[in-house]
Amino acid sequence: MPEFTPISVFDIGQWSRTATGANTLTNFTYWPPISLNTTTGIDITTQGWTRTSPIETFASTSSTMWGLWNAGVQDPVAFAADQYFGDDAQPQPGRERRLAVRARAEELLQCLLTPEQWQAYQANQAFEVVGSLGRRYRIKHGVSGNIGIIEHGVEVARLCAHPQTYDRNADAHLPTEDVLIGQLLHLTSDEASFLRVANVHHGRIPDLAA
Amino acid sequence: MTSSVITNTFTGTLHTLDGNGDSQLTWDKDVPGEVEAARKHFNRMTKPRSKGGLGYLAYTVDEGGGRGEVLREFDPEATRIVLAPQTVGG
Repeated sequence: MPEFTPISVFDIGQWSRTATGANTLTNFTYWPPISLNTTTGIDITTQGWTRTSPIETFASTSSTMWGLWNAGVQDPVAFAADQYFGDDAQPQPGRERRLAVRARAEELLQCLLTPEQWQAYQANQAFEVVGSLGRRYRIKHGVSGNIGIIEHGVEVARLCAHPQTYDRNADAHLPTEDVLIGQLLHLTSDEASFLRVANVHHGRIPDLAA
Repeated sequence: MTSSVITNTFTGTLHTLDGNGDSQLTWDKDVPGEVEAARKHFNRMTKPRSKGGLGYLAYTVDEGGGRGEVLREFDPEATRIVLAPQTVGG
């Protein structure tokens, strides 16, 4: 069980940095990322990163998240390759275990989705669901701000709500596929309570048709 | 003349989303010990945090159905249950 730091604020917007050497890494969403007012995390602005999206923040008490953040700021290419690029990543300690975890989570996700949803996810890294109240949502592969409300085929709002991704019991993070499972099940079973906790990043939540 | 008894073995699976992808616990509804073990795990995970539990959300799901139903109490008849950490705004 890790020691938890006092609440600190993370910035979950997009940042970019051109790395030195042969590897260039730009414009990827970094999670869990930025320290704005902490004594625990490394200040990203001193490491050559620049912001590429509006500021978005959330609070966390997890020292593990800060550990990940510091690792990523100090060695972004290795960190991002390990966290985000899967099979294309360079060999990293623990990578095999993470791939196995993701494969396991993906297997459960496939089991829960309809064949059509799974096909869409395979093709576009996104699938659509109808909430228990009837609104249509597009869930994209991701953890934060990855849910769009779809009206007449157009995204009219972007939401952020997800299962708590840090498992204190296992001292581990949920794989992204588990996050999608949690979002899928919550939206389709209790859309109202999902919307109560979700933050609207942009747009509006449409009224239900009478 | 011989008679045969056909026993329908019913097995349910409880998936707990965690850092391993998920941890699975199965039970046979005709084996009280297995049912009780699954029920205890379910109750421990779903007990509200305000009461010392972990506050997980429980859903029954149908394979390939693309949706879930909220489950308030452990159901030994369910074929698949998913326990997910509480949803939080991001």
